[in-house]
Amino acid sequence: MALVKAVSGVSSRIGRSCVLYFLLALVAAVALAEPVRVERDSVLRAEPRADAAVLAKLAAGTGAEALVRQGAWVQVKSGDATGWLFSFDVRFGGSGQSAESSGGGAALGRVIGSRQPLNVTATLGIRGLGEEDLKQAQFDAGQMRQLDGFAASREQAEAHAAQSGLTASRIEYLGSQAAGAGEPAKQP
Amino acid sequence: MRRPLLKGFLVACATIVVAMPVFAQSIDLNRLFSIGRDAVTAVSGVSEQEELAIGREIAGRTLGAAPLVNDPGTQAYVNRVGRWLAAQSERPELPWRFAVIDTASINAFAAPGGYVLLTRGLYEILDNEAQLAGVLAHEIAHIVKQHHVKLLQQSAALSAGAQLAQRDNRSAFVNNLIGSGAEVFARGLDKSAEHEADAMGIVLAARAGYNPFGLIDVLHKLAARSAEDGSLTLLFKTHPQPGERLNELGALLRPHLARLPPGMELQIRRIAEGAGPMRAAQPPAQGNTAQPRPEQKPQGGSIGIDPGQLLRGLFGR
Repeated sequence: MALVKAVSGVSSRIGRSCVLYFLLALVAAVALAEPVRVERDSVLRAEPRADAAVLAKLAAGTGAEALVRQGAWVQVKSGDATGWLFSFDVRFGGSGQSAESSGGGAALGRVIGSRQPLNVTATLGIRGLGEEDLKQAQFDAGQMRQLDGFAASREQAEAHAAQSGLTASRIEYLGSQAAGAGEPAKQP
Repeated sequence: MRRPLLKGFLVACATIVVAMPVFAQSIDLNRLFSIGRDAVTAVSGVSEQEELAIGREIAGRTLGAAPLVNDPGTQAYVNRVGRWLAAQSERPELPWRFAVIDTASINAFAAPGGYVLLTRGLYEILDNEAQLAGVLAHEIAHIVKQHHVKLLQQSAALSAGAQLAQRDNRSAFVNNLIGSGAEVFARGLDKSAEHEADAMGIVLAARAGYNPFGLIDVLHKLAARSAEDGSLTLLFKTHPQPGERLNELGALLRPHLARLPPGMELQIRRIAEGAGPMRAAQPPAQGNTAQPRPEQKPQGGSIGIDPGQLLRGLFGR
C-alpha cells in the first residue's frame, strides 16, 4: 500500500480508497513529470474529488508537472504543492489550446501511458486522407463486402464484453442530452 | 385600382387553396415509395431505409479513398467493441459497421445508418480500449442523433419537389441528396452537434462499462498536438478545437462526476505488424476475384459529391 500511495500521491486516506487507488494505479501511468499549463484559475485539491480539501489556488497560465491521471483528474506538482486538478483545467505540453508546442504530444503520451510516443515531426507534412480524396472517391463494392464480413452480431458483442468483464449500467445522458433519438440537436 | 388588386388577391387565394391539397397528396404519394418508415422518420422526415442507403453510399466512397486495414482480427475486434457500445444506445438494432481504414490521417467518421470509420492514424495513438470506446461512442452518438441527416434536411435536395422528381430512381435520389447536401452545410449547427456527440459519447462509454474519460484522453492528445501536424489537417479544419471541446465538456461534466462510475480501461488490440491496406485480391466474400470496381459512380447530373462534407465524427464534421 505504501507503494500505491506513493504512486497515486494520496497521502492520508487508507482502507477502501486504497483499494481503489491500487486498481487505478494499475492502469494509470507511473509518475513521469510532464509539463502542463493551467488553463484557467483552478483549485488544487488534496484528493481527486470535487469536495476534497483545497491545498492551493493556481492561476491560469501557471506551469506545473503532471504526475498521474485518474478519471477526470490529474495529479500535478506546482512549486511545493502536489495535488489534484480537474483534468479539463489543464492543457498538456504547457502549450494550451493552441498547441503550438510540437513537444506536447510526446509529453502527454507519457503521462497517459502511450506506448507509442507521438512523434510530431514524423507526421508533419504527411498527406493523409484529405478533402480532395474524399471528393474524388468512388464507391468500392469490394471493400464494402469485406466491411460487411467483419460485422459483429449483438451476441458476439455481448460475449466480448462478458469476456472483458464489462457490464452495462443505466446512466442518464447529461443535461440536455437526456433527449432520445431523433430529437433536435441542442447545446450541451 | 382597388378592384383589380382585390380580384388578383382572390385569384391568388383560390390558387393556393386548390394547390394545397394537390401538394399534400403529392407528399403522401412520395412517402409511399419508402416502406418501413418508423418513429425516427416521424422526427427526421427521412426513413431508416433512406438513411441506410445514404450511409452506405458515403461509407463505400470513403473506402474507395482509403481502404480497410488488412487485419481481420482487429477489424472484428473493433466491430465487437463498437456493437457493444451501440447496444447501449437508443438505436441498438441498426446494421452497425465499424472499421479501421488505412490512412495516417487522424480522424474518424460516422455516416448515416450505422457506419463508423476510424483512421489508422487515430487508432494507433490510442492507449487502451476505453479510449477506443470513447471515439466510437462519439461517432455512434452522431448516428443516433441523426446529425448528418438533419444537416441534409437543410438542403434543397430534401425539399418535397426534389423527392418527387427523384422518387423513381433511388440511386439518383441518394446521389442528389448527397451532392446537394454537401453544399449547404450550416457550420453553426456543426459545433453544437460535436459538443453534443462528445457529451453523449462519454455516457455511452460509461453505460458500456468503460472508463468514461477515454474520449477526454483522446481530446487531450489532440489538444497537445501541433496545429501544423499534417495528419490533423482535415480534423482541425472541420471541428471545434480540441481545447474548446474540453472546455465545453468540463463545464458540462463537473456537476455530474459523482454519477459516472470509474469503469474499465482494458488493453487495446494492436494492429498486426506489417498489415497494409486490404485489397480485393484477397478472397472476397462473394467469390469475385476481380479488382474492386466502382459500383455506383456519381450520376451524370450530380456534381461535387463529397463524402468528406457529410461524414460526421469526432473528427468528421
